[in-house]
Amino acid sequence: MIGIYKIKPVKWAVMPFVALLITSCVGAPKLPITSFSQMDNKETVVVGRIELVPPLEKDEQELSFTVKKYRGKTLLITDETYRELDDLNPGDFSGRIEAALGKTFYVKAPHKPFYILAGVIFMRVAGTTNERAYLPAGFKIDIKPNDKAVYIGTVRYYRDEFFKITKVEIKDNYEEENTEFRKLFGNKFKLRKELVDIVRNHK
Amino acid sequence: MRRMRSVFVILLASIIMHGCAPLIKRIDDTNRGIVIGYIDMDEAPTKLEFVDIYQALPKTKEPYWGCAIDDGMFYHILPFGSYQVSSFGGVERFLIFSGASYVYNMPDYGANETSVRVKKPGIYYVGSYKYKKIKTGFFSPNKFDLIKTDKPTERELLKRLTKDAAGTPWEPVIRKRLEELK
Repeated sequence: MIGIYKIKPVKWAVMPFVALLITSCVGAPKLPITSFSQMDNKETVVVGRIELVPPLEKDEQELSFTVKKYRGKTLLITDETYRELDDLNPGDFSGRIEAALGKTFYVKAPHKPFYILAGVIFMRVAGTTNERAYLPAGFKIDIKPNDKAVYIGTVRYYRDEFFKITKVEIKDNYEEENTEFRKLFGNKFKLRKELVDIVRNHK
Repeated sequence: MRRMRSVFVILLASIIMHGCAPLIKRIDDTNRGIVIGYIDMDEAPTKLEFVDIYQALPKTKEPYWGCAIDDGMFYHILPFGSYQVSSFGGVERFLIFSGASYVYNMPDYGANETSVRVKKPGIYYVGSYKYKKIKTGFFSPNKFDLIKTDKPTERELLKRLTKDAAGTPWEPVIRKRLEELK
């Protein structure tokens, strides 16, 4: 079991990720969009949803005002190549998907496959406290060069009272999501279904 | 006046003695679980001076329980619920001088190996562990690992606890478990 220890007084040389996120010293997230006019011809809309069962309770996250925008959200760490995440570095947050839990996200991504390595939920952020919960992933999003829009499914995480993830389900709600997609984006381009695949099948 | 002073002295002595009495002598309610474990701190900068257990269920505004400590052994007597070790630590000491205090934090989210569900009265052994430091860079948080070991065993820890439990309602509970572990 890996843990972190503190020596009081705190080592001021350590800079929390959260401060970097606030000051935008880490790379930008994948941008949310609601129209194809917000994309260029080398980009694809990625449509998906992350659910947590049971969902977060109203006061379960204790977030200071500087990070309250992450309330009810998970940050999906992405990369173009698959790797196991031992530790999170500030650079890992570049290209993240900021997904509101229980809600469909629409973000733009380059026209090539990428991986969701893990999900991070800020649980307690105040002062020097920075506690996070993690959602295991290791999913491949197989975007093809001609894709304009890709539906990756609903990833449903079941957790126990310790926030240990006990089960992960990939749900196919394509019909429902396609209806919503057409309302937002129109009928010009098809929403192709490409449910996330667990990386071990691709190793 | 002399009688009042005697009463006061006896009262004060019993308060002090009761306050210093081992935890197992202070909790009579056996409709609980003894959660017990061990951490070998030989490679740590400090000895084990406190262990906090976090109560995941039932939810409460004060979810932390401070354990009794005895030479690496820690335990608490907890009502039914879900728990795991949240942090432990100690203070650097040299002769009569105190140095920095160390707080070793386990991740609060995600079960660790010490997680336990107390569902009925009895003994809940969460394991014996060895502290191991992990080298990190200067700008990285200080890290450690807790490696599960097989020493001391649950039986050895309970034998140590038997001394303090003598004459308490917990003595038969511990003896019963020792029989099962033979």
